[in-house]
Amino acid sequence: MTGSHHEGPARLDEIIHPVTRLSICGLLAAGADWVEFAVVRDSVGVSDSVLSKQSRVLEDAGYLEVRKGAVGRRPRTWFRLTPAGRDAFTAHVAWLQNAARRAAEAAPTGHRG
Amino acid sequence: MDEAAEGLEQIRRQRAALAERVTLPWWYVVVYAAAMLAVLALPLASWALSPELSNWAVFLPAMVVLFGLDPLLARTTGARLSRRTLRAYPSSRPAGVTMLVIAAVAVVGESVLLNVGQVAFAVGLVVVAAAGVVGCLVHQTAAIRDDIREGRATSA
Repeated sequence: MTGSHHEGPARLDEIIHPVTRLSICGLLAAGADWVEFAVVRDSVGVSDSVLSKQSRVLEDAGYLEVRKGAVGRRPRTWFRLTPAGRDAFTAHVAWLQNAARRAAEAAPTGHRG
Repeated sequence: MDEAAEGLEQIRRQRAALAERVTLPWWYVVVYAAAMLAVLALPLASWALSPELSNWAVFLPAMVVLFGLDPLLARTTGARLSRRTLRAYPSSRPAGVTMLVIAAVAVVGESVLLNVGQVAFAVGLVVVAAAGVVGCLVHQTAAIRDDIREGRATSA
């Protein structure tokens, strides 16, 4: 058992599912090739240490690629999703859409008792 | 709101946050306009100088500047956009294609005007075409922003 629940192309990915990692992946999959560490931190609204820890989880899963560089003396770290990370995120978004649709459909019938 | 809807809302927020970063600083527009003016003025420069000299003194430096602008923009905004613009951001295609058409028409038109001795009109055409290309760039950037915000963009 992997902790993933298949439903066609949609798949719950438990690596991506927690809100911080979902937000990181959401930003990185939004349309840029690479996004800088500080931008991810500010957009997701977490501290440096939390972002480092969560990005390490994604990197260890093979979902995130990290590139380190420098501008003058300032170190700069850039992130991007790997093809595997992009596929997992796409499948997870499809799973979220299915789940949200099911929840919306179930809502009116929930009052019937 | 249920957990799935909250997750989708979080993804929408991240797309909006990235879209907000896709802007052109004033210096980018100014340098791009100057470099584009130099590129589009190539027939004029070849006529005034020589083809070899205009290539080395005008065209190549302008191309180096144009290619160097994107890394600088990425450092400034903290986001490096896809280089395959027309493919990654579908709404940017009309502006991108119009840009190429304007540039091609300007270079051909300029050569024709120079052949018939209309130097002033050729200079005017270069200026108008450069302004048109910069206008397209601004529209293209807005289209890229919309694609990111609406989830139509693809990258990598």
